[in-house]
Amino acid sequence: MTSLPPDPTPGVPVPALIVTHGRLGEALAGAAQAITGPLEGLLTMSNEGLSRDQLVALVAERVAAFGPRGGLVFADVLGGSCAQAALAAAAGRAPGPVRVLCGVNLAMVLDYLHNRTRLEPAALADHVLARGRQAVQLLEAKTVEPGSTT
Amino acid sequence: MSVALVRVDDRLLHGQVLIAWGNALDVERYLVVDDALAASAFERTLVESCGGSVPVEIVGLAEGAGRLLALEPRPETVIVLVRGLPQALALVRAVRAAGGRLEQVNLGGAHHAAGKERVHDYVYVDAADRSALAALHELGVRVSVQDVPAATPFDAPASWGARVA
Repeated sequence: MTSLPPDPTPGVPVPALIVTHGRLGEALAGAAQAITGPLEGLLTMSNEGLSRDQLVALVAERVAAFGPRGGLVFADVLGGSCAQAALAAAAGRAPGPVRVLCGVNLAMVLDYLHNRTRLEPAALADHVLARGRQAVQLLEAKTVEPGSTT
Repeated sequence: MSVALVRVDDRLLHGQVLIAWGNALDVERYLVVDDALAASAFERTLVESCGGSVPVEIVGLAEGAGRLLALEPRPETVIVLVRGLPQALALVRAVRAAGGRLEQVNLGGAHHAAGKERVHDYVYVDAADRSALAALHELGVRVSVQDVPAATPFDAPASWGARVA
C-alpha cells in the first residue's frame, strides 16, 4: 500500500463543509459527533429555501473561510444543487484548493474526522473517497446448512 | 410525448428535477433556457454534466423557442427549464410568435431573494414576477404550482399576479 503524504501542518484539522438537501448534513454531523466527539472545523448547511445564486454565494463564503490551505466540501446528490454550488464555489474565488466529494455518507464523515489532522487536503480527499466507496456494500448472511456444526 | 414539462425553477437543473421529475416522467432530454447559463462556459459545463446519461441542452432565451419547437415533434420526453416567471412569459410569447403552442407552465421553485414576497412555501414573487404571472394568465396559460410529482398541484391564483403601472 502506498503511503499518503503527511500534512505539512500536522495537528491542525483540515476544514470541511457538508452541504446537503434538508437536514442531512446536520444529521450526519450529529451522528459522527456521537461516535467521535467534538467536531470543530466541520460546518454544515442546507440548501433549503435558497435559490441557486444564494446557495452558491453561501457555499463560496464558507469555502473562502477555509483559507489558503483549502479544505473539503461534502455534497449529497450527484448533479444536485448542492454539488453544483460546491463545484462553482471551489472553482471560483476560493483562496486555496477545495476538493468536492459527492455522495456523502457517514463512513466518509468519520474517515474525514479520523484523518483530518494527519493528511493534507488532497490526500485526505482521496482517503475519504476510498473509504466512502468501500463502505457501500451488499451484505448477505452466510447460508448455514441445517445441522451444520461449522 | 415530447415536451412533458415546462418548469419555472430558479435552481434550474437540480436534485428535485433530476431525481423526482426525471424519474416520474422518464425524461430523455433536458432543455435549459437561460441567458446567464448559456453565457458562461463554466456553468454550462457544470450543468451539462448533471444529466448523467440524459442529455442536457442549454440555450439562451432568444434560441429557446426555436429549440423547443424543434424538439416537439420528436418522440423523446423533454423537460424544459427556465429560471423565473418573466423568462417563462418570454418563452411562451416566443413559442406562440413562432406558431407553436405552450398552454401550461409548472411553477416549481421561486425562492426568497431581496425584494421578493412570500406567497407560498416555495414561491416568492416581486413586481416583475407578478406582472409576468398576470400576463401568462391573460394569455390563457395555466400556471400549475407543484414542486415535486408527489405533491398535489394547484393553479397559481390570480391574486399572485398584479399589473404594475
